Amino acid sequence: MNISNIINEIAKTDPEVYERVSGRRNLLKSFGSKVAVSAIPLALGSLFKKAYGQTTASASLLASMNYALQIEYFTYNFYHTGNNTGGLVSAADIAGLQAIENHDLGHINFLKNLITTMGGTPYTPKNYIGNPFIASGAYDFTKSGTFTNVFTSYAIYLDLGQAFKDLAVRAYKGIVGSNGAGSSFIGTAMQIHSVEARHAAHVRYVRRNSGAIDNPKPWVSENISFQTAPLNQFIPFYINENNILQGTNIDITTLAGANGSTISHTAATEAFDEPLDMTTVQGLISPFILT
Amino acid sequence: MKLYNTTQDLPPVKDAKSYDVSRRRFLQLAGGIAGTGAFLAACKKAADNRIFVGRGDVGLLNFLYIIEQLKAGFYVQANATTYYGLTLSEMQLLADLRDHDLAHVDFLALILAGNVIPKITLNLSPTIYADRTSMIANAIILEDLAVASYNGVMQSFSDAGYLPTISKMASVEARHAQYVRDLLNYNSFGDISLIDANGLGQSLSPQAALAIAQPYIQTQFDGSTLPA
Repeated sequence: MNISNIINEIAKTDPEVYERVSGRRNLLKSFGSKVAVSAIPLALGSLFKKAYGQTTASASLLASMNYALQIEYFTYNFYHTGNNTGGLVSAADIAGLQAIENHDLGHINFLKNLITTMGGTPYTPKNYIGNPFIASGAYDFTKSGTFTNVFTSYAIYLDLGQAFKDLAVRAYKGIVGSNGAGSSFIGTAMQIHSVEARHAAHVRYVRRNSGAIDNPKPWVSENISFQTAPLNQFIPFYINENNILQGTNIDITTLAGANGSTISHTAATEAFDEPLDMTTVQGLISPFILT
Repeated sequence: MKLYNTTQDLPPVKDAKSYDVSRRRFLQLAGGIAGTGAFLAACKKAADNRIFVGRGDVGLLNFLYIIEQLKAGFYVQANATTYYGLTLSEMQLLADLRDHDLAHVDFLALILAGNVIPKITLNLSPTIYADRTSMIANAIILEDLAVASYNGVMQSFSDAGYLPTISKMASVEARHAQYVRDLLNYNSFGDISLIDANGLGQSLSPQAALAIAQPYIQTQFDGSTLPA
């Protein structure tokens, strides 16, 4: 658990957090061995509430958190549906894809708690009914019949799974870069961001091992996407991933490589992932979301 | 078998400052010159030859520079003396790991410009590079460390201008971590030891991360100004 990290982040913007809950020692003590792991998301929520009472986060920060929640619902429902479609996922791969679903569920619960306790209203997908994590009529992963075999062809399923996860990484990078230095959400967003990147890399690795024609690496080379229709519709998901100007306009193709050489163009683009802004990301996933 | 254990084998860095006080020079000073003041001065210098990482954002960037140099040097060696049973796919991706981290090293040095610390000297002894399990197991430690380092350092930057660029390298480290983990133990990319019940990946403060990195590095650091 990284509870102490979260508390530290809050302490950065609110140095009095420890006093609010009678000292750091007591705060952490309440998360000792007595608390079951499954109860921690709930316990964390009550901790925030105890610490903050009516204190609210800024509107822009809440909007960032809700945007993150929207992404999590989207990818969670994709993998949840796939994992529960009999005969779709190979036996060797189920443990990994189930882990992705579980992590995304953790992100949803965490973000919902965080948003609520910071005074916001958590995003809920449209047409969401019943158990909040079982969507009915919320998503159309066939994209209006474009990918009718998304949950019958394992290869197509993994194609979409990769594109969605690579996009999630770009979305979190946008969040991290747009909330300003010292934001209490940066550390947490980075932690989720790193998990999304592990997911994206894993799905790419599964595809690589299953003989996918593009033979993807765990990292994003250039702006390479799927070349043939209808999968070439994902080309915009990878736009600008071949950016070679980083930081203060440093041309990363001039950086040092191995054995006294200069790095290859492809390796340079792989070494830096690129962000996407909220408007672009929401535009890319909206055709998969029912209204 | 060539060992890349010295600073000369990594690409040169601009404006590197040398803090080296050689043992021979120290003994010459201590023995040849009777002056007590000179002796004490030399003692003091030799006793604390740690590299000071700097303050504020410079310290944070130099901290990442240390982590990236560690990984780059590790993979330079891993590529030079590859493990037995290496597949073609593994050879290709092992070269990528090296090249990405060398790029990060050079990039951070350029960002730091005149504030960059000298090249560090690694301790390669924890790893048996010819042994697949040893190489990958140590790569896992270093990649997970890098991911947790990037996660923990971001909130401490005071200049928001660094955040987009640093986050671009951070996710590449997470992709590296997935690969070496799955390579040794398929589906272990998101092991429960790294990701908690909320789905949050591990985060380490710079000082905590530096302590984990130290056994792989001969150079000693003064990181007292880094967030604990």
